[in-house]
Amino acid sequence: MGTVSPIPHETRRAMRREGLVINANGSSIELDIVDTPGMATKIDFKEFMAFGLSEAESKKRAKEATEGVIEAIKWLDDLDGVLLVMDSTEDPYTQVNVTVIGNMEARKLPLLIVANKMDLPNASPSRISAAFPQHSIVPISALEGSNLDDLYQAIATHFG
Amino acid sequence: MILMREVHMDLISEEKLENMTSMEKIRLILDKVKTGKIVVLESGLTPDEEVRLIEMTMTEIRVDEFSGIEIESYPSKKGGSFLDRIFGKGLKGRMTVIGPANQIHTIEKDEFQIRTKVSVGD
Repeated sequence: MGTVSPIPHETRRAMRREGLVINANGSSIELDIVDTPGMATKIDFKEFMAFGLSEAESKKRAKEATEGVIEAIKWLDDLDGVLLVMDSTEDPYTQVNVTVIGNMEARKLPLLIVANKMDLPNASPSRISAAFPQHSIVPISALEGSNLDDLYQAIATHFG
Repeated sequence: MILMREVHMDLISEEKLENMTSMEKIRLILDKVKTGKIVVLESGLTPDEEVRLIEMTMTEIRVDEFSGIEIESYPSKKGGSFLDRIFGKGLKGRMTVIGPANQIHTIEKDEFQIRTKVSVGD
């Protein structure tokens, strides 16, 4: 739901879509989906200046980003399950992944890991599987729209 | 001449943390980290305490003063007694390192080790 940008913290407010119906292989599930801002443990406005934003814009973005992280954490208290999208070209052992997955496990809520960017040559969903072997992983390419039927099926199975 | 700079590191035992409330732990960690100390927790925090620490960190970020924390812990592992697991206490925290974001940087992390680099400012 959020827009894509090379500048970190592009999504700084949660976006909600209610009543989304997913049909897959004869199963149907209706979901309310919340696209939350990404979580972070640090936010330095100078990081945004490196992307060409002015100092004032960067400070404003940093303040909104801290509020976005707090909003994302609040949503963690009010979820029935998480679809955790990871970049399959990146190291999966980030603290945010560890913290979100730990919270879902502690609350015994369903979690499905989506390994995105499978169109890139260095994509490695096996690294994600090795890091979090207890969870189901669906490799996809959102850019190419590949394997989305498997994703819809997994969503219907996990959250239905 | 070689200039020696100091890094202040506090290693906090599981016993000490066990006797503290979640808020006391978070306050202790943030107070230390905001003064430039590196904190190593023997038994880590619970997943919920980790998000509360991140939440409180966000409220205390100030331009040119405090840009947040670097925290690294391992994925939780199941542990404790059968009764602990029945009552939802089966996820044990693991060794965790926390420091000021502008000083501590993670080089590499896998399921068995966390490698970090600590920069000492002027």
